[in-house]
Amino acid sequence: MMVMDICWSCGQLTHKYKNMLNALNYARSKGLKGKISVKWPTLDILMVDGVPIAYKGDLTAFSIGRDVDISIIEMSDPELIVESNDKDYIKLDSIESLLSLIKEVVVTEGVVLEGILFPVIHLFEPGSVAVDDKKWGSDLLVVDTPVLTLKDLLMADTMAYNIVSVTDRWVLDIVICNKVVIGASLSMPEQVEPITGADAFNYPIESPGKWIVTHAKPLSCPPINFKIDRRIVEKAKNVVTGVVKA
Amino acid sequence: MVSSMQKIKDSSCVKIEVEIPKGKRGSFVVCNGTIHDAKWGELKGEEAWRKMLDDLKSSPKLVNILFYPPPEEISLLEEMSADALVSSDVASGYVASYGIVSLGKAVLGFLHQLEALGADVREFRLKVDNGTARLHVEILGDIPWDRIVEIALRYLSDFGIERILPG
Repeated sequence: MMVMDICWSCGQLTHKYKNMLNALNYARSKGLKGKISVKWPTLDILMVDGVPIAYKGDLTAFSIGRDVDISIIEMSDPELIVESNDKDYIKLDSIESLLSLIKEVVVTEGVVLEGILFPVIHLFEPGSVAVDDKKWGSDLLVVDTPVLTLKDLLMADTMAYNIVSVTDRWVLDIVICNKVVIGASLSMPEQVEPITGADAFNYPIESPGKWIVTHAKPLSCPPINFKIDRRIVEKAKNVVTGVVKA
Repeated sequence: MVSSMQKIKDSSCVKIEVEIPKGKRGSFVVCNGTIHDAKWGELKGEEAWRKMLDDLKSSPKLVNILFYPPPEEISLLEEMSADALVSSDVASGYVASYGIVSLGKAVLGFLHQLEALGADVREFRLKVDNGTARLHVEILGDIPWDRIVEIALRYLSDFGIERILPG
């Protein structure tokens, strides 16, 4: 098996990924204990309960949007201790501390609303982003054309939204930083896990009715440069409304 | 933290699991001031609840709190579950800072409560600025403005809102 030629004592390979953020989001949501390992440019991120605790190597893997050879490796406690004794590891204490080291991230999906492309990258759970609770608001909207309403909302440069459909009982949480959606999460009553990323918009764009929209500005945005993958820009040219992926 | 736990006990109907990392853990079922079930380390009942508050007082570190719906037999009233929904998230707000989801849940709790009292909410607009909220609400139903303000404050005061004005 693959594990054997990486390191015999380093745990169990469970998944392969091609995109760093997808791998990271998987590891976070599953509460991974082990490491995310990138073949080239070499990078290892140690995780405990889905939280990155250390990394070694080159973070440029995050700037490559595709075709990166990424392994998710689960480890036992003793294996993790042995691995973390490696002095090349640099300590991290949160997902934010890891992301703040990443200078550039490629955005590989988006949602097109009436011809306008809004780039989407699920870096954060929207609920985990602190907002300005001194200045905020909430409105009950009667929505006839959800595409246009969402388009209006997403036009904001920097804003967090909690949108609750009273009619269809879904909840869409969004955080926008510098014109990029950095977190989008849709919960529906019949779904166990929320739908994240650009796919979170699929259902709401076809769901008119009464919406309660609560809005506030995020207190801070990650200092990351977002590079929009050209392929989604190209694909968006042929789409009026819908989700596009590279 | 301790006052927030006390508040959860007094005003909501919820099952919580409390864990001090590398320390004690336990679970509690509380409903509107009554402790229905409490385990903290080896302790049970009132004693477990008191000891847990003591331990939280002396624990400087982050505390993990998970919220669950209470067992069915003690959550019959709609009004209670709306409260539980909000208080639980407000409490986790003491652990981290407020996110958009907490604000949204507070608003939803307030609107649910109006509907539980028989109001059909036709228009709603809330604008918060430094402790003052301007509220516009148009309802079909018979709830006096003072009562609406009282309910709104119950849901919004945790976010530092002290005054509610029509607007």
